[in-house]
Amino acid sequence: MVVDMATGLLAASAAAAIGISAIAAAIAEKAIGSAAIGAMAENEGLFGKGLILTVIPETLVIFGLVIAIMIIGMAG
Amino acid sequence: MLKPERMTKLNILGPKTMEKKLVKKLYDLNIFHIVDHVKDDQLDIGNPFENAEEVSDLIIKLNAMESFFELNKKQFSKDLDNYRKKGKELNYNEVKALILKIYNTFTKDAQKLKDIKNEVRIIEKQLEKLRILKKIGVDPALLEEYDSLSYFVGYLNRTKGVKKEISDITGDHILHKTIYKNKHLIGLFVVKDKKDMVQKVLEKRNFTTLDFSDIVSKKSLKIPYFEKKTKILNKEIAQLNKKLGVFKQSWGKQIVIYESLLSEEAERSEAPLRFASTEKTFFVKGWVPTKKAEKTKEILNELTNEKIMIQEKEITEEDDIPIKLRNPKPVNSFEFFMQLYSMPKYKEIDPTFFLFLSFPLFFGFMLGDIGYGVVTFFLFWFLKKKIPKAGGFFNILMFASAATIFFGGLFGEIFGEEVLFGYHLPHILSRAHQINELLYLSIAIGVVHINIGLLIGFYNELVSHGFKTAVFKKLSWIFIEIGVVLALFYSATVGGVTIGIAVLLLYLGEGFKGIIELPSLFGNILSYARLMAIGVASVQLAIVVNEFAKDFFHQGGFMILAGIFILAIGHTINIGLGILGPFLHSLRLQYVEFFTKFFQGGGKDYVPFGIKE
Repeated sequence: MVVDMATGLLAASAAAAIGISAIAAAIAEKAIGSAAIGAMAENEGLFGKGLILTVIPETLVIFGLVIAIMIIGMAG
Repeated sequence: MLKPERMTKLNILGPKTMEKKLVKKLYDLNIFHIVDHVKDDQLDIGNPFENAEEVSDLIIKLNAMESFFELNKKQFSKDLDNYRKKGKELNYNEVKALILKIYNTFTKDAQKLKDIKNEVRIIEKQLEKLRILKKIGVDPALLEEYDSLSYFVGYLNRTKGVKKEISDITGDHILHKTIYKNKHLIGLFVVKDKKDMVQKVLEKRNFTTLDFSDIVSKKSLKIPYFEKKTKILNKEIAQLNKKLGVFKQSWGKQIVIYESLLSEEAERSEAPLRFASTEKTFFVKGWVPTKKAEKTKEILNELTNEKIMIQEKEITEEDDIPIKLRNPKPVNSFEFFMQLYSMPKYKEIDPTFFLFLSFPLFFGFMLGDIGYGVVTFFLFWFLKKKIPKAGGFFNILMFASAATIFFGGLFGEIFGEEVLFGYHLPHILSRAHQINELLYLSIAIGVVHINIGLLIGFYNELVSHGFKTAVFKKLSWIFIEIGVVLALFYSATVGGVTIGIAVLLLYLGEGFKGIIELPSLFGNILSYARLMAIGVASVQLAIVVNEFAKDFFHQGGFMILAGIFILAIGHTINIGLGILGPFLHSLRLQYVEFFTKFFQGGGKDYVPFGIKE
């Protein structure tokens, strides 16, 4: 499959959009997740709150994904 | 269904002479949630019934026997039920005498068994050492303290070169070596002044020394003597074990039954600790489900010839009302998610029913494959049979699997394939090809879901804080959404004004915090894009597996087997991911996006005083 330069750049930027946002979310969740587990060890009832706080940064990936889809849409 | 069970607050006041009778009845009824009295200036807590200590002592004895005989409570649960059904009152004094009698017999035999086993262990250790010495040909009598001689007996990890190295140090030595139980065993005698140097040589080969101090003192004893003694002791052990086996056969059932009954007795005996009490009276506060309140009052009055006073109290703002969820059959499985998160408050809407509707929907939308749905359905059906304890949880997953099959039908997918044996499955939306449509659909589902949440929130606020707060805090969000829609599709001015008014309302309701929260509405709705994202990822992985396997099938022959293998492994992994991902994300959408719109939580569980299941 041969693609022209512009399409290649679009594909690369779509990949970057989702990849970098995923890394960012992962870094944020790492810190929150370990703190949440620590809190749960003290009190198991905190599972619900812990889960919520842990997954908050996940929205970053969703934003990345939407941007990636928009970029791919530009490639047609 | 949408609200927790209605509760009635009952205060019971009575003379102490009635206390025991009342406690017994309340325990049997198993519906009265006791509010523990906290000691204050006016009222102290009560004292446990006089036999409480004795009962706990008996329970300890029974527990000791249970653990010794490894008695399984489940094994006798039917017998316990039968015993209860007979309705025979427990004759406490008789039971106590019986327990003490069998416990005495038991401890005597058990202690004896323990002593003999100990003795056998010691003898066996010594015997082992004697055998070692015999193997390397050293007489136990030789192992004493010498003035000019040192000895080493023990294991080396290798013996190569040891003889030479020791010879280099001193000629005055005797070395015995042999292999014992796959290890290099040595017995070495050297002159005392070379001891340190020889030790270094041995340490290089990980020397582990053996201690013979316990047999040196009995050097006159010989192997046959020990062997004979062990035999006799082992016979005794067998006899005792047989005796205890018979004991277990004849008393095991009783031990378990009495332990359960006495544990209940102990709980009853300690109930007054949760009551307020004076010298002659007791006072207890608690909750019963409203529909059973009248009946409860009747029963208790009849029991005590109306010598107690039962008062129905108004519920006040300070009351921490215990929460019992009440949902009909298939819905109640989803109460599991509420226990995992937090119980609703008494006035709040119980969201279990909404979870029942939307959790399987989201799960099915993400996994959406007829093949996967069927596999997971039977998997969870099987697991439910295997682990009936977690039945509710597997019910949830079975619902989710059924939804997966349904969406599989809409998407026209079986194991990621849209075309099966040349037949193109009918579909309404193809996930592999119509990603944009799928994204719009996901967002639309999100808008609906979040607005349902806001409407529930509106109701909750209306009930607890009145109409104005409800409009400011919850309806304002819906106005903002309407404003955005107007601005996009009708006119920017009208939309802008609507948004402006809505934001002002929000500011009045939530203060500055509400303004900061504004972008979260956008984030929350976009978050539903994961419905599309996880679904597409699952489909694509399935397609990759199928394409990979197809290459092998085309090569024919032996490669077909490899293709089947790839299909099996690939789809197993994808199903594993397909359960984990959709489950967590579906739950997350409930907890994070949906619950935050209305749910406060923090309700206390309803725990009636009585037999725990």
